[in-house]
Amino acid sequence: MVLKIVRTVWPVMLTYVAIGAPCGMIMGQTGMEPWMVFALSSTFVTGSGQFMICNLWLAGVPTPSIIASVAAISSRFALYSASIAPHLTGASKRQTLAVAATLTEEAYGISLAKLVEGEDWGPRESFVLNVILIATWGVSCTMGAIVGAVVDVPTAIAAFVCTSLFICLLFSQRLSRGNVVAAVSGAVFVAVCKFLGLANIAVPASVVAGIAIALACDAVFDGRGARDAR
Amino acid sequence: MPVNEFLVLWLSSWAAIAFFRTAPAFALRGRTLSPRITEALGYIPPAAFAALVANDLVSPSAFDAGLWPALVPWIAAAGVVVVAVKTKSMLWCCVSGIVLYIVLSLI
Repeated sequence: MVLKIVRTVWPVMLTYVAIGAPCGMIMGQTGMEPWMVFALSSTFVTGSGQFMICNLWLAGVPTPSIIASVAAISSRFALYSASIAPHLTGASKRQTLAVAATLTEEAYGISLAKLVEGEDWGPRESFVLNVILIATWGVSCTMGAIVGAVVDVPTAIAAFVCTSLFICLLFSQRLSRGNVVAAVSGAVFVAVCKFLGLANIAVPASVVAGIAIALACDAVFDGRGARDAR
Repeated sequence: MPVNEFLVLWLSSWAAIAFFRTAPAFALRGRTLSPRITEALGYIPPAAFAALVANDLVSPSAFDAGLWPALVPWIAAAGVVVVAVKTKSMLWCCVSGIVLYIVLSLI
C-alpha cells in the first residue's frame, strides 16, 4: 500500500523537498535548533505558517501577534476539513481524527479526489498519504536547517524568500471582487498601521480589517443586485 | 530563539492549527458550513498574504538609506509578481526573488 501511495505522490514529495530545504534554512536563521525545526515542521506542515513565523520573528514582531497571524492563516484548514468531512462518514472517530489532524493542502487535494472517485481508497490510505508527506516535509526542513547552519545566508535575502513565497501564494488566489477587496484592504491597512507606529499588530489587525471590508463590500453589492433584480 | 519562547510559539500555534484541522471534520460529519462563514474563511488567505507582502515591503524608514536601496525590494517584488502570474510555482518565485534581489542590490 505504501509503495502504491508513493507512486501517486512522488511529484508532491519532490516539491516538498525543494521548498522544505530553504524553509528549514530560514527557520535556522531565527535561531531554531534542528530539533525545533523538526518538531515544528512535522506538526505544522504548512509552509506559509512556517515562513510567516520566521518572517515576523526576524521583523521583531511580538509572540502573541505571531501566534494570532499563524492562527488566522491556518484557519483555511477548517475549509478543507469541512469539505472532506462528508467523505469520512463511514470512518471511525479515531480514523477521522487521524486523517483530519494530519491534513495538508496537497494531501487534501489528492485524498478528496480519490475518496470522491471511490477507487480502492479509504481513510487508511488517506492517513498513510498524509504521514508520507509529513515525513518528507519534516526531514526536508530539518536537513535545510542543518545545511543552513554551515552556510551563512544573509538575513535580508532569507527574508525576501518569504516575501517571494507570499507573493506567489497571493497571486495563486482566485481573482474575484471579494478577494481583490480583501487583499487591497489588508495591504493598505498594514501600511497605515506601520506609519502610525502600530507595526506589532499590523498583520493580524489588517487580516481582520481586510475580511470585514470584503464582507461589507459583498453585502453592499448583493443588496444592490437584489434591488436591481426587483 | 530561546527554548521557552519557542515552546510558547510552537504549542500555541499548533493548538490553533490542530483545532482548525480537526474540529470541522468532527462537527460537520454529514453537515456543511454556512455560506457566510465559508465566505469569511475564504477571504482570509488573500487578506493575510497581501498583509504579509505589504508588511515586508512598507517601511517608514526605507528612504533613510537612499532612494535605490528603498526601491530594490519593490522592483524585485514586481518581478516576482510576473513570475507568480506566469508560473504559479512557489519554487520559481523563490528562485527569481533571490536572484532579482541579489542582482538589484549589486547595482
